[in-house]
Amino acid sequence: MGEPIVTLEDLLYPGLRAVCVGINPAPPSVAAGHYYRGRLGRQFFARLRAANVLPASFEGFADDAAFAAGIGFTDIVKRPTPSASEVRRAEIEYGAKLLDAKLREHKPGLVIFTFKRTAQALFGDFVGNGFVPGLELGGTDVFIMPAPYEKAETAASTIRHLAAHVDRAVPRTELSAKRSPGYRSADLRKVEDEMTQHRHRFCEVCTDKVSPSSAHRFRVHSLACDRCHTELRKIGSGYARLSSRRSRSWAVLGRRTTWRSHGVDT
Amino acid sequence: MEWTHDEAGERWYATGRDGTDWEIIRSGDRYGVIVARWDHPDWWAESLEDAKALAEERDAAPPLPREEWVTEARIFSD
Repeated sequence: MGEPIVTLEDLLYPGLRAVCVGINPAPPSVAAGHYYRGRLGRQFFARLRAANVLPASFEGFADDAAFAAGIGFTDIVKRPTPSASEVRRAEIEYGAKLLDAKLREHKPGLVIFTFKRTAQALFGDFVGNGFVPGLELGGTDVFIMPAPYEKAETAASTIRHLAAHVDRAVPRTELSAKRSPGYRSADLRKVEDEMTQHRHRFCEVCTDKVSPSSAHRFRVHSLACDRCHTELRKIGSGYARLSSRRSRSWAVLGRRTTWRSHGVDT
Repeated sequence: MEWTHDEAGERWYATGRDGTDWEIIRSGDRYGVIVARWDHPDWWAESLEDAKALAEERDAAPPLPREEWVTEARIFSD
């Protein structure tokens, strides 16, 4: 028997100016209900502001402001883990296909990998960051964000390249009527349904087979087996209170959501 | 390093000797040390003191000469 897990929802809608892609959500960020919290997280958003991707000032949470400005957020794997080493190969492979489908569906102007090793999980080893020749995903240009510890002048130079690209190729657009966080088109639902059908007898966390006795509930409600469910309960402080919190307002939950089919709401 | 913490006491910040920003977060009964991935801990420690010591040890270590760099490890396990 499995249960849904709590993660950060995808913030996507068609025609976004850019989409920031991480490897998977951090448990503290899931608990907070917002992407990229903390001081280093603020530096990430500061770089987006420096590149004219974000407005110079805003109120509230940075990811909310970014989304309102046409910047989306997602991850290759939606399962939160304390360490990236706990992300499994099968999850990466599955998530990469789903990410490609999401990007082809939503057609953002740019894909920003927030962490180089996230991109290396998809493209293999490559040198440098910024706009790396030969990298594209879902028919979209790819930018590799310099790491937080990179020298300030080096990072600033790379960010200037991003700013130039944004000014040229990613104009600010009118917000679409389809911009609600839960929006998914029929085409994307079809892709997800096909992938879920293909994997519905396996736990998406450990990829072990799920016993026949739990198959029905697994298929309908959950994608995690007993063992993984137990482990997942240990991460994410809001997990155990999910059922009661779901009845509360969206503001309380922030950007948290239940995870199905590797992070896409169903 | 000089550590400061936020009002809620859930995060601690310090700047390293070369300007590297370090962050420690509390998640449950563990403490995560962040330096490379914006909001995702690179290491975990059992106590705040251990987390601070780990960050300070890493920050104090001399950089490896380029000829000793190795290819980055895969980020996923089999």
